[in-house]
Amino acid sequence: MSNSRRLFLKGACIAVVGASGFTLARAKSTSATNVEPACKYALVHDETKCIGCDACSIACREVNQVPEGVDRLEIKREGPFGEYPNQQFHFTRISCQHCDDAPCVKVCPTGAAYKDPKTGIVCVDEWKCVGCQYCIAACPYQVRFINPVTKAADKCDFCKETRLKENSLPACVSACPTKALTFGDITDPQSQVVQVLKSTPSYRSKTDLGTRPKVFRIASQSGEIEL
Amino acid sequence: MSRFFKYVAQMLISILVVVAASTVSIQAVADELKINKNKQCIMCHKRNGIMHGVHANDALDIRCQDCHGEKGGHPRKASNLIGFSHKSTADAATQTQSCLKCHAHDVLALHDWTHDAHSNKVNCAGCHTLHSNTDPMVDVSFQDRSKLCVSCHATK
Amino acid sequence: MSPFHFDSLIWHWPIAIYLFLAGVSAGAICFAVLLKHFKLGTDAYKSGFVQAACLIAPLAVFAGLGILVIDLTKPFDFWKILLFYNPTSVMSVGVGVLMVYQVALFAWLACVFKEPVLNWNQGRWLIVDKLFNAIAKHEASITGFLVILALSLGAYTGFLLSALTTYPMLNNPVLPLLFLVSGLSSGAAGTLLGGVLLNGNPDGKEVHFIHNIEIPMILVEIVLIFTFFAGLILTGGQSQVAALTAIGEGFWGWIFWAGIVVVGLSMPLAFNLFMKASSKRKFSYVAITASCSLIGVLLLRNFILYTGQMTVA
Repeated sequence: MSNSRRLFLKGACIAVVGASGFTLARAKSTSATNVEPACKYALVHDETKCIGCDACSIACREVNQVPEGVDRLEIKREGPFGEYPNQQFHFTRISCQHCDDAPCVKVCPTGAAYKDPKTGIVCVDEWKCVGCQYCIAACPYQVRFINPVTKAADKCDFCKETRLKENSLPACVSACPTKALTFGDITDPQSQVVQVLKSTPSYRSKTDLGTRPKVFRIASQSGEIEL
Repeated sequence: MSRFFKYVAQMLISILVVVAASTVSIQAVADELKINKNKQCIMCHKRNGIMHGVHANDALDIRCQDCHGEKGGHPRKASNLIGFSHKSTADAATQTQSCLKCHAHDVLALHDWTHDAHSNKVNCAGCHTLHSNTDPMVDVSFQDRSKLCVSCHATK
Repeated sequence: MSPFHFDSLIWHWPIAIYLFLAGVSAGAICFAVLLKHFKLGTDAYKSGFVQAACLIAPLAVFAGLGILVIDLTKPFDFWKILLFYNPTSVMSVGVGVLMVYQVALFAWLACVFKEPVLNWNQGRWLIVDKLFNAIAKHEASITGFLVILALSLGAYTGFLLSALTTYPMLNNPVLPLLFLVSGLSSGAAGTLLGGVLLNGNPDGKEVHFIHNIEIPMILVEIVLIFTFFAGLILTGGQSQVAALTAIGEGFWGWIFWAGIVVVGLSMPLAFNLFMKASSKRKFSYVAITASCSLIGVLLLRNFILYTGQMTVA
């Protein structure tokens, strides 16, 4: 009896180590052998040009049929900074950052959250999503929400299903009156995004979490420095 | 059939009468207000000077001169009259100064942050209209408000 | 900040209940296995405590899964979780563990209750005899697998939360261990409470055996909770903010100090130390100690879930 138990324990340990090792190795190898996408879309939000008019979020809601009460795109306003009558505001874009290493994709139990291999856009498969909300909790940028109509997780997809299909720019980009948004392929050295990013200092949100977001920001001059 | 038309005709006429009466009465009420009895101005500006909005309220006791300034040499000679529009010879700072006499900028900021952003750099009439019965900014929709921003800020 | 409503709150109390029930199930079955192997042997099924544990383990896991499914925004699509698999998702791996765990659980229950079931059957259905005998042949392997799966399940409840990089307090390596140990102790408490309610002897050898394991486990739990918060505070930044918001003043601070530290840990520990191993135990004593423990663990799950989501990285 004790002999068989010992034998069993050994076997079970080997099985567990093997299974977890296999899972880990497979997770590593799938990400390593993944063919790099044909292009990688990114967005630059020039906060120095943004006036907080909400034209982008209004266009987004219209084009993507986003129900009232939830937002794919929001412009957060901070301020005023300075003394009247010379006061400025600071606007921050709140939307999906299309992380290259997306936490939502990693935690999704069904694979409904996925990174489109052709464009690098982080997408949601409405049908596969069961609404466990794990992705919503996992997103450090807190931009995911449950769509009250489809009951699936939803968020900005760079208008992949609407504008990009028509070969035009995302709704927010074309709606922006001050041309504060630049959209394009960062693997193409000639693209406007790359030109803008190479010529202007930019920053990204929460890079310390290792998410490698693809929404870049050009910092406005207004406001104090937050530590 | 003819009976039906008779009813419709009666109804249309009665609606017309009510509408006409109310328009006339609004006009009549406006004419009765103290601000619109200001002979110095209304004598010439009967068409374009009648005040309908809240600012016409007798209780406020506002005169045309309170906002537009004293007549001076107007209309023949030079004057310091202030016109409220982007076509006005008065600059934005002068125009806003006139409104800020009553409207504290910090109170305006509570209603909309854009008051702080535009401060004395954009004239109030750029968005607001005062002589009309209601100011379109009072119940402006989110979309129209955004369009208004875009109408000035659009870059080519 | 309102304790139950804030912007960064995504997962509400049903998840805490689910984590609690999964822990109770894993803990209860571990103690049933220990009781059978070290104290009771083949007579295990006669003990009220083993019966209680064998009732609690499947019921808790079913109830937990039920709550989890109802909490989905698309409850009728839950089968997609079973169909599609994502090896990088803790939830997906956890669902796999849960499924295999239930199979092992029922196989083990068949081993324990083989004798009474076969007696009741009296050879009426041959298939039942065959099935139970076939399962019982592999009892050693089933038991081993069940214990490993139960421990994995207990740890999974912690890993589920610690995979969330959004929240520095949850994204913490001590959390799975803490949840595993507190899950085991809640299983022990559930077994004791259920056992005495099922007319188990409150002074029986099972109670002495479980109480002997419970004291070191509560001590380990205290050490883990201390490490958990000390680690967060020493990390600084948002981790420190998160820890201090959680255990500082306010509703959840009270829950932590009064509910978890005093009622959930100190009181059962004091009762256990107060009661010498030799002295006679009464129904009320066992029931109250176990209830304190259970309440403590349930509060711990809610406390960690809610305060963990309060501070974002």
